[in-house]
Amino acid sequence: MSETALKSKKADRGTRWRSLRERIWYNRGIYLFFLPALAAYLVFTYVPMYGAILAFKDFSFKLGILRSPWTSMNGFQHFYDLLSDASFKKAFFNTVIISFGRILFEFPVPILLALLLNEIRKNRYKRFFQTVFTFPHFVSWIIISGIVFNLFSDSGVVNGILVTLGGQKINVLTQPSTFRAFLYSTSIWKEAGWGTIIYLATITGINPSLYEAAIVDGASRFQLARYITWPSILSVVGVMLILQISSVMNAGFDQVFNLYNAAVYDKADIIDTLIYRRTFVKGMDFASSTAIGLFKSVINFAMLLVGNFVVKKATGKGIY
Amino acid sequence: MGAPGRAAKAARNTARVRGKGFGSGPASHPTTVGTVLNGALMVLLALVTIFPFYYVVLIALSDYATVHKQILYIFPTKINFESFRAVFEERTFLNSFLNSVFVTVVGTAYSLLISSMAAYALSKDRVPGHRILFIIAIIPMFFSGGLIPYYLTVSAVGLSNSIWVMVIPAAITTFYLLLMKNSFDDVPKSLEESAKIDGATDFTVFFRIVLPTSMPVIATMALFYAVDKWNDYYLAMLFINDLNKYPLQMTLREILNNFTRFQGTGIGAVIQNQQTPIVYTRSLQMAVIVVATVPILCVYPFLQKHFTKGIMLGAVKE
Repeated sequence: MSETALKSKKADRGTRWRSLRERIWYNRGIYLFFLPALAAYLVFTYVPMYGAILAFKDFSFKLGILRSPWTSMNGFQHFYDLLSDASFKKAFFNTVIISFGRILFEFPVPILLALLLNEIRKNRYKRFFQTVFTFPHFVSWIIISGIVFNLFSDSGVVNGILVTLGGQKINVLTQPSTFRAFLYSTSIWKEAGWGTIIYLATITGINPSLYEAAIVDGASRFQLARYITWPSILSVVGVMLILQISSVMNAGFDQVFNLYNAAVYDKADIIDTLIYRRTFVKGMDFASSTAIGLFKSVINFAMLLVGNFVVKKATGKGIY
Repeated sequence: MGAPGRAAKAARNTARVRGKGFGSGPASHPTTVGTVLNGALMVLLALVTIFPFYYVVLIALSDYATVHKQILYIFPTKINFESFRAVFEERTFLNSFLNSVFVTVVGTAYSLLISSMAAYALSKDRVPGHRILFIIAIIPMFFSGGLIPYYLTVSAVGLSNSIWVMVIPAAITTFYLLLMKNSFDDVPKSLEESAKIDGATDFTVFFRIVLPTSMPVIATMALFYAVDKWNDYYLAMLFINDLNKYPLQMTLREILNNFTRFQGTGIGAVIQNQQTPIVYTRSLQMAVIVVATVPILCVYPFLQKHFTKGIMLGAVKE
């Protein structure tokens, strides 16, 4: 690092005397590199961000977003309506519960798995298991839904085993009481291996002499993991936690949408699935769905700030 | 454990350490019950990971009669390729397969090009306005206008019901862009500067020096983008209503959930016909799943070894 920094400083010295305009002109090629991405960002993320003002308007297709009139209550009518919207409230609570359930049940699994994988001595085996565990991440939730239906359907292998053992058939797909647990476990099955990569990469970067010294002092493997490995990955754990917290209002549309059904709406309908159904299946008012979406984004953003603050206090390192 | 025991253990460990040389730390401990249990657990988890895929292939290759005769069907007794034949004879399916190939190839190239270029621009922190560009790229990671404004914007651009809707709007994944940026940061500045002194343009520097030296990251990001494109159904679901423009995932979703849309097609006829089944409905569905998964399975093992490296270069930096 220091060597390259020194060299780039040297290179910089040549440009420092230049005026701002000359520096911009000198780097014109660099701006051109950013241009296509800038265009893409402006059109497909920043224009929609501005379009979110629709949340404060009575949308009419004829007038478009900008010329549609503002709603009553200083534009907050749609938000006010949400307070008395039973299915929105249901979806809101489901979203919060499922998100925190994910933090509680799903989040620790890759960390644990990474620590266990790290205990495997032969690198060849370690890589083999990693390859196997990571694979489901690359398969879409649509495919997973097919796989899951196949396993758990009436004539599937799970019920086959249950019947063979003298038990009753179950249907986890339409059982509201166990559906959230079903979401957590399928998500762990799919994503836990993928989640280990970042932790294993961090572990690889730990200075081996730390372990060497501890082993000479007679540390057990558990002690090595507890007092060297864990503190070394703690800051990465913190960052991952912040990212997880900042998407608390998302709760995994992709998974829920492909696994849920009317029988479990009560437990599984989240804000995103509600927005989708309302807008594209039932064809309700665009503006009120926009209001829900904006509400979601604002909470997520607030959670990012809160999460970053808390994690920074606890581990000394946040994402900014 | 008493002090002598501990000392002996330490001595033994030191001997081990010396004997093996130092790889990763914990690997130098002797085999214990824990090691064996851990190994057993890993094998078990690997089986749990693999079995569902095995079961998909098993059902795809079975026929209705065989599966229904047995309460528990885990080992193949009769292999039957009928469902695969039915799938490949189906035009809707083949068509959507080709659509997905198109979206994956063109989309990955496009995404990789514009996000690696942007990443390169962001790795130049001497450029005036660098911070502003960086913030422009970062904000969408944490804030979005929501689904409806996005829908209205993409429709207004005129991409509704066009296959390009799966290529153009979601071209940049900011997270991948940042991984690339971090990796470009590590390309020795002296290399670039000396090339520039020799008269190379930024363009040449990027394509001739920066990209080739960052191959592990580029390969990893190409894989990530490709898999994302191959698996995408969301944009198609929102914007495409013509069955002929569906990507594979969307056709698969319809085949799994919504047979009625396929009634007029060949697969629909086969599915309808399940009272006198030559092909079992579920075998058909599983055959489609196999066909949709195999392309990923083909590229995955070759690129897997790059992941850790690619992510490590990109993400884990102090």
